[in-house]
Amino acid sequence: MKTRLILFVICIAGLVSCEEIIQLDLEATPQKIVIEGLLTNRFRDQYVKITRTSDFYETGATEMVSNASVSVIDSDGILYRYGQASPGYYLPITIFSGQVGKTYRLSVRIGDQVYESEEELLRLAPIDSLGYALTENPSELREEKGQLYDLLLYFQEPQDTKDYYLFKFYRNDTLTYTNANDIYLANDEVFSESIKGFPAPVFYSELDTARMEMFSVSRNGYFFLSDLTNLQFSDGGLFGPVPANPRTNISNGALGFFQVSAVRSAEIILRKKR
Amino acid sequence: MRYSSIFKLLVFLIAVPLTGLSQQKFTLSGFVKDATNGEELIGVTVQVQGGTQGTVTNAYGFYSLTLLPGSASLQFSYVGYKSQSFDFQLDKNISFNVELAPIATEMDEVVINGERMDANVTDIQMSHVKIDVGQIRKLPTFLGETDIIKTIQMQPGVVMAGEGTSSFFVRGGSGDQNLILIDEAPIYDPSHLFGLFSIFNSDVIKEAELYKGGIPARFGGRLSSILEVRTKDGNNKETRASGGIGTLASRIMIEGPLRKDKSSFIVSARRSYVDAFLKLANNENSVYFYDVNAKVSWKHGNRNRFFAAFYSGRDKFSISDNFGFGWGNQTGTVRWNHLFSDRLFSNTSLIASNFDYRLQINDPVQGFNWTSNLQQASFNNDLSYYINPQHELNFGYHLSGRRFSPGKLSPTTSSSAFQELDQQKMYALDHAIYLDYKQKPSEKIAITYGLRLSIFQNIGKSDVIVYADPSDNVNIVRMDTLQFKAWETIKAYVNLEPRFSFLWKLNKVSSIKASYNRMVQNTHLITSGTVPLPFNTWSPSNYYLKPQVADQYAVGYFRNFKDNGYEFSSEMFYKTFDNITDFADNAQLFFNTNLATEYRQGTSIAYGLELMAEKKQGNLTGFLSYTLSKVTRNIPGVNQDISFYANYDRRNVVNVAAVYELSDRWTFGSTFNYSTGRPITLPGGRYQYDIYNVDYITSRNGYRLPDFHRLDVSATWNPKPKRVDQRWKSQWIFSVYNVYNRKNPFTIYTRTKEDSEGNIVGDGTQKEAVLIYLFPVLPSVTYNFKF
Repeated sequence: MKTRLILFVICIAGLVSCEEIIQLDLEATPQKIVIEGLLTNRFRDQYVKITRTSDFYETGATEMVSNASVSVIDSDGILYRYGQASPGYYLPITIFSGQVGKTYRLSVRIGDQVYESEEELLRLAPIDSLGYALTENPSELREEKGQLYDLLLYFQEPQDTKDYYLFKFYRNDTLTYTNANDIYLANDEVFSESIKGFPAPVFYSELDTARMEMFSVSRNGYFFLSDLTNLQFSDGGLFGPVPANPRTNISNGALGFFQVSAVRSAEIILRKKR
Repeated sequence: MRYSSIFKLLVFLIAVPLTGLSQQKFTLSGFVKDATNGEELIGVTVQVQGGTQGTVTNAYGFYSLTLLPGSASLQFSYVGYKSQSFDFQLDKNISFNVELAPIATEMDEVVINGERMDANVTDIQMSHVKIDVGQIRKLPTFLGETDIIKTIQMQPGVVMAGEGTSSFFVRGGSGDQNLILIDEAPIYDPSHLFGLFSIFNSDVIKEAELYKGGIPARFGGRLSSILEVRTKDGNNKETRASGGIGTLASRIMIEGPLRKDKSSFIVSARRSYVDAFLKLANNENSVYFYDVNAKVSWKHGNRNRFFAAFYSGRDKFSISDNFGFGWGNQTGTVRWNHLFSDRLFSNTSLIASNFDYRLQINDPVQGFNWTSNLQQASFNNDLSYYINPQHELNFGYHLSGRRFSPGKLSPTTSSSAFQELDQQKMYALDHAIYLDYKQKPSEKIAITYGLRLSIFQNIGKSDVIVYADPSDNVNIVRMDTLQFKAWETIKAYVNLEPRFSFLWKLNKVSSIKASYNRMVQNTHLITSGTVPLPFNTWSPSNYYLKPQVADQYAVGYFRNFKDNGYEFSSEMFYKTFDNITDFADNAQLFFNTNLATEYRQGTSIAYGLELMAEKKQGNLTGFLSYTLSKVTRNIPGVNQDISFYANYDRRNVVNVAAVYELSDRWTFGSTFNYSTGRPITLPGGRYQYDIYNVDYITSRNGYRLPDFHRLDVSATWNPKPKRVDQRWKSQWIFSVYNVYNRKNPFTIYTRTKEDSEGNIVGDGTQKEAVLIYLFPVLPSVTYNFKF
């Protein structure tokens, strides 16, 4: 539950703006390794990024970790070596794509510390089609931005397996979010088999090119991303859960996540109807 | 093993006074009532004049005194009432009802919530607060609503999570460890408008009592406190009406006799009208709440009394026509008081309670309806046996059946993307047998010892999933499913809960009290937040959740000054908790079919010192309370197994309430609250993941919010009646909340730095912390009337 909504309702009851920026008195914290990895069934998606945490009020890019040794080995025993493309940013030396059904093990060595993670690349049902429609209840903000179209998703959800999905939306090839920290995530538990015209959480204007990418994620991935959402929207543990670091699939106390996904994408241009 | 000796002791102690009964004695018994409205008075002192023997009336206004034959003079006294004495010739059992007349006040503000004058020193019950509803009406209100929970939150040993919340935390216990009863029926969520107000309409409250420790054996089921609220029975002399128009809500109450002196009714209703303002402002959103209380009571002869009480309340919110949510409580109680003899008083109650919440989204594709509820039906039989003035035995049997429906999701249209999903219902049976023996071995000493045997059963129909590792909430491996038929026991927990209280009167004005109690809680609130929300669900103890247990030791020194005009008390407590229910970091509590993997049970320790000074008489009345306390939790699997401060740990709390009656026309009131900020989890650092600027959390509850303090004032004006015998009486109450406009911290959250429009500032790597505060200085006016 988005408990910040409740804060908002109570603030309305107080009939005043009730936020104030304050300066926290925080001590310096020991740095931790952060590993961000992506491996999909598409060529050129594969990368591993290694950084360190910084103090809360420190600004600018976080510290990149160079000189790590990075590799991935799949369940057939094939080894993919990664090389550093820019500081902290590692790419496979030989381009490859993941395959549905295979398991991938990431290994990162920094000094004498080894961080590992293992994930299966899970299948993903095809997207039937995208559609669009003028919204019936436009919010003020949407009217202001002229984003009066809903993007509609048509999709068959396989009911025999537990599936988890991550969505990304592009407007004219630019990755876009309704709110800055949004993560568009779904869990099939509550979904029926046939999804017909489910509106996307991102809104479009006439003549926009709308593209949607859909990723299969593992159960671990779903937990990581939903924990990340909860943390980003935490109310400080008043009504909602106490903030905590997201559960990760990386060993040895590193933060971050190694995401292994199948990807599908679909695109539509929103032309004026009739 | 160790209980068997307690049993032996009990048998011995009961047998001794019973054998003493062979000597001829006679019983004086009856009911004490208010002469103006027939309300039975609770806690009236009945004292043999020139002697030390005496008793107090019970929760139904009944007293019973068994004395040696001869002449006796009894005095009946009660704060706010004229004392009365009667002479008796005791040569047979005598049944004698008494009506006491209140000391007249201008507004007819009938004090129905009196107390025996020296109870602070002479009553064996410690760690106990009786809320004076008449008094809190004169104190400042929030938006014009008198609320007993706000006064509960000011008592020593009680802390609150923040203003605008109806939860309270007693002696290191969490918000779900309070048993809240209205006419014996449990209330699972006492909040309106997410806690801005409580469901208790002060117009109908006869008495509210909070037990923090030394809890009598007739209560059980929660670890930390019992808040027992009893509603008025209704005036059985004449029909009266009263009401009020407040800034936020209005109230009306009608009471009167059905048959004079025999039966009465009372109906009261309250409704908020924020929605009316919103409509005027052409706002499509709506929010309101209401409460209805009703009760009828009648008596059949002097031996039988019947009561039927009903409560219903609900909150409803809707955002345009698309989204709606709400919650509500309904309770019903039917009570039968019966006198088996002049010395054996029985109360039998049938109780029903329902709590539900719902969420609804109206949309052809995204539409769904979500409902969750909890129902309870109980049978309680409580008996009091007044053996003689030195010995009293209370015993009884309680049975409850409960059904928990954590959630049902149903699509609202056939084109909905959602499918119907009904989370498994859970059933529980609770039995309790208890015995409480009160004894006064000497004039100076009183002892109460009790034992409650609680038998809990989690029963079918239900499927229990067996996990390879129930504490692994990521890689969930289901090993087996155990199927249980309807009524079949899934898990039973039997607990013995010893209770003990001790009073040593040092002299007429001071005493020392001590108590021990063990409490067992088989009801668990599924939330990892600090303040319980109406959208939280409850679970009974089950295959995985063990009963929560608390042991509390308390000692105190009590002293009255100036002929009971000033009361002073100091108490210390030490409390340990076992199997305290908590949840894993990142627990997914909403809609999780593997909820059992999120449970984490651990231990907690709380201790503290409470000081209270109270002035109950004169033009200036009020109290000053101070609490120094500490509570930590140790939950395996949470905060890397390191002990942490509980969410509601506040080191120092000071509360002041004062009422000054300047004249018959004007009364002034003021309250002040101070408390140390509560602990909060804040990030120690940040990191970048994908496009997200993420908080790095280093320890749970490692920081504290800034201190909380607030001053409120009020003035009550009773306009001079035009004629002396005028029946219509009116009253204006002016309140100012948060006089010096303190921005009291409610919570802190963090985000990437934004400008006032909500756009990210700079390169999106800068973080900021946002303090939420709720109420600025808020004036309010309430108009009350009575005829």
